[in-house]
Amino acid sequence: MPLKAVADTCFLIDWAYYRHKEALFDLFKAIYVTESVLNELSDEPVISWVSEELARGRMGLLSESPDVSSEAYRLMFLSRREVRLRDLDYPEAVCLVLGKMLDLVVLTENRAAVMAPFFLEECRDLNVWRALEVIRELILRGIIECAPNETSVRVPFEEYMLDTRHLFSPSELKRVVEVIVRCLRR
Amino acid sequence: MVFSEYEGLVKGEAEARELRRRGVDWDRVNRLPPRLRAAIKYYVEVGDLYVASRIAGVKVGVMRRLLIKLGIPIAP
Repeated sequence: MPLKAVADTCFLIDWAYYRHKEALFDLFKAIYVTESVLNELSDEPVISWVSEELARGRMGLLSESPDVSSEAYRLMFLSRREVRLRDLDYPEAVCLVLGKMLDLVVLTENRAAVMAPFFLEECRDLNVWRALEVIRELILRGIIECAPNETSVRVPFEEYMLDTRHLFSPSELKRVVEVIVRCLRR
Repeated sequence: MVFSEYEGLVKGEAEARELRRRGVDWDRVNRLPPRLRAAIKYYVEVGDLYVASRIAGVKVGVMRRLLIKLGIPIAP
C-alpha cells in the first residue's frame, strides 16, 4: 500500500530547503499538514512550496477536530507522566493522533514524538520518522541512488545538513549509514 | 551492551545539545531582548523549536531564521 504521511512544522521548514525535496513525493503518495502547522510557516520558500503542493494535490490540509484535539491533550498528559519520555508538544501530539487514526507515517523532528512509540501504548504501532529516517528510506528504496559504501551513502545526509543547516547527531548518523550500507550490500 | 533504539535517541539528544551549545555566541545572545534571549537559551538546552518559538512570541519559521542568523545549528 502506498505510504501517506502527516508532517509537522519542524520537519517541513527544514525539508523545504533540501535539494532532493521532490523525492519526498516518490516515497509518499500524499503528505498531510494541519491548520496549526500551516499557521507556523513564515519563510517564503517554505510557504510557496507547501502552497504549490497543496494546489497540486500532493499535500492535503487536515482540520483539527475537537476529538483529535482532546486526544492530543491526553497524549501530552501521558507523556508528562512517563519520565523516560520527553514532553510532547501540542502540534506533535496532533500529528501522532492523526497518524494513528488515519494510518499515516508521522514526519517530525521532535524527539518526544520519535520516542512516543517506545512508551505510549497508543503510539505503539506508529512509524515516526525524522529527516534522518526519511533519507534512509529514500536510499533503501532506490529513490536516491548510492553506491554500497559509507562515502557514497553519507552524501545525501551531508547535502541535507548543508542545505538546511540542520545537523544530525554524529552517532545517529553513523548508525543509520551503517544500516544502509549493510542493506545495500545484501 | 546491546544497542537499543531508545538509548541511541538519548545519546543523540546529548550530542545534539553539545552541537547547539558549541554554536552559541553568548555575547551576541545576551544583547537580545529578554524574550528572545530566554527562547535561545531554552532552545540551546532543550532543542525544542516549537516551545522556543512560543517563549519568543514568534512563529516557528521566524524562530528558526533567528537561530540560523545567530549561527546556532538546527539540531533537535
